[in-house]
Amino acid sequence: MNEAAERYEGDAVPRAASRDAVLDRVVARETTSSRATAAVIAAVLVIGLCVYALLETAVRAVGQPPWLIDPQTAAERVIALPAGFPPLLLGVIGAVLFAAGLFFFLNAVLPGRRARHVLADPRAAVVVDDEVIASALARRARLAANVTQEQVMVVVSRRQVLVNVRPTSGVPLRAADVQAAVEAELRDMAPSPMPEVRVNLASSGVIGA
Amino acid sequence: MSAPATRLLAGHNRISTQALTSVARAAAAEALGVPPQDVRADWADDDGLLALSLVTPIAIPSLTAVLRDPARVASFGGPIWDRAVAAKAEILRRVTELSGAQLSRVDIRISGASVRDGGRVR
Repeated sequence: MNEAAERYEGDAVPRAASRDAVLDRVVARETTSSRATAAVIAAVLVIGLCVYALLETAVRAVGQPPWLIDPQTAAERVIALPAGFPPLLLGVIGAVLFAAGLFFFLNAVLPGRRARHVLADPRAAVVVDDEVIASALARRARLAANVTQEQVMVVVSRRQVLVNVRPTSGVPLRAADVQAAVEAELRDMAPSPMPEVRVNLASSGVIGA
Repeated sequence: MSAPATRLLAGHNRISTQALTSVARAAAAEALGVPPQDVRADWADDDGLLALSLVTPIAIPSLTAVLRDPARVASFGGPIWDRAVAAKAEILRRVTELSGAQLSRVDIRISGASVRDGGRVR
């Protein structure tokens, strides 16, 4: 079919390729959190600093008295730094700078993934919140274990699905059954990346549920 | 196996605590020869299985009747202790059979004696 398309419409393949690229981009945007806020904050900080430096330099160049501090004096103070400031103030400034630096550094380095999975679909990009997957799996686990809704809790993370089941007293459950049902449901859903399933059976049961 | 099987079994049946309690009271009353409303039944969870604790009176022959005919004790099922021990197994079997839930233990506390003079004739 692909060959046919290639033969009859010359631009079909490039179009499909660019469509895939667009989809990949959309999926990437949906599954990772944006760094725009941090970037804007950083830009505003740098711009403000530069504008202030420009102002002070211009004021000095014109020969007017400095607005806040003369650049020369500022540089001298920085060089003689441990002296001239109370140590407490220095410590606080250092801590604030460290926190801000850590914030920007982590924002830049960490992958910033959102709690979402991508479902395979030939036609569209399908991105599903982990809560939705968890709720679907919880329903399946509930049916497999034959318990009420409150007795099942499912936590979905990127690489792992944790199914907590509290059995009904007097009705023993087999973890393998629940595991098989949840795995079958996951296989049908085929989220990417595929998480692995872990089932926890609570040792104490619920009476009369 | 799972897809058609679960479709057939879709839906959830539950037996409420109240229903279980009524079953336990009836079974205990039957085993000890007292009216069900005199039996108090409590459920607890025992490592995933059900533990039943009963507080109940027990039917005994009147002492004058025993004095007249010592065989009355045997016709009621023997000493109270033996009857309570035997009743445990009986109640466990009955409740498991009726409710489908697995019981792990039955605790019986005899809270009193109710004198049955009519007695069972065997």
